[in-house]
Amino acid sequence: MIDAWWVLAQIVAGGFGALARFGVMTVVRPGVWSRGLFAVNGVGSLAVGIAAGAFATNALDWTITSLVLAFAAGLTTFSTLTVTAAQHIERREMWIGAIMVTSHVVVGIVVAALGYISAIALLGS
Amino acid sequence: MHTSLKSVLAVFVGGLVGSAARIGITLVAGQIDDHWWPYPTLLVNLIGSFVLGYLVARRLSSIPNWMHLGVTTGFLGAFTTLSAISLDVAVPIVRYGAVPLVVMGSYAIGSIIVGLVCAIAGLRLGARRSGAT
Repeated sequence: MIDAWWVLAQIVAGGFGALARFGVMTVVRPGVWSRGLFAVNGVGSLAVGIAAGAFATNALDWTITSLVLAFAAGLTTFSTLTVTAAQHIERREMWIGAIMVTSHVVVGIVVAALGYISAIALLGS
Repeated sequence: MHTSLKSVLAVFVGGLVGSAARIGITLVAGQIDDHWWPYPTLLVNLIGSFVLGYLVARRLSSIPNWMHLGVTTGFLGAFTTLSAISLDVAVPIVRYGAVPLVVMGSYAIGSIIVGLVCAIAGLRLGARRSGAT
């Protein structure tokens, strides 16, 4: 049975994540490499890694963990990344597009792994 | 209402709807089967990449800016996600090593390549429609 309040809380967390992304991307000027986008994707990936690691050590309960995951899912985005990179590719700036999308995904995975390992190392008994 | 406040509200509401749609798809997929790789995430990311590409290239001037922001930054931004890819790839590799590296590495590379193809397809279709009207 899926708890309706739990789903609603996740949706609201995602909405606040989207709002935070809008705020960061409005304040941080994009430039060629879309630094604001890079910041939200990096911070969101680090947060989910830390939350999952803390949950694995029982330092964080599932309610808080799932809210962090839901906020980060709204904070980070994939469509803006692929479309920005695709626009570079369409302008024959093939390498900028390829490096942009690859760097976001690779850095995201690496920081999530580091967050996960660090949380377990610091919080695990 | 002030335009920027309208934009903020539109992004928030769009973000709520986008999150709801993504969570809905994930929950439905969870009911259908006990999937061992995160195809719901891939699905939302590919759909979102195509639709955003289309809307960006189409540039409907009749739509006010706050509504455009609500749909693009709010809805599609929250509908698609990168943190789920990061977590779904990182945790199995940290815990189990080489085998998930091959499988989840392919998922990550596939997301990048097919995501770009969808975004380019959306941009081109949107540009064509934009030129037609």
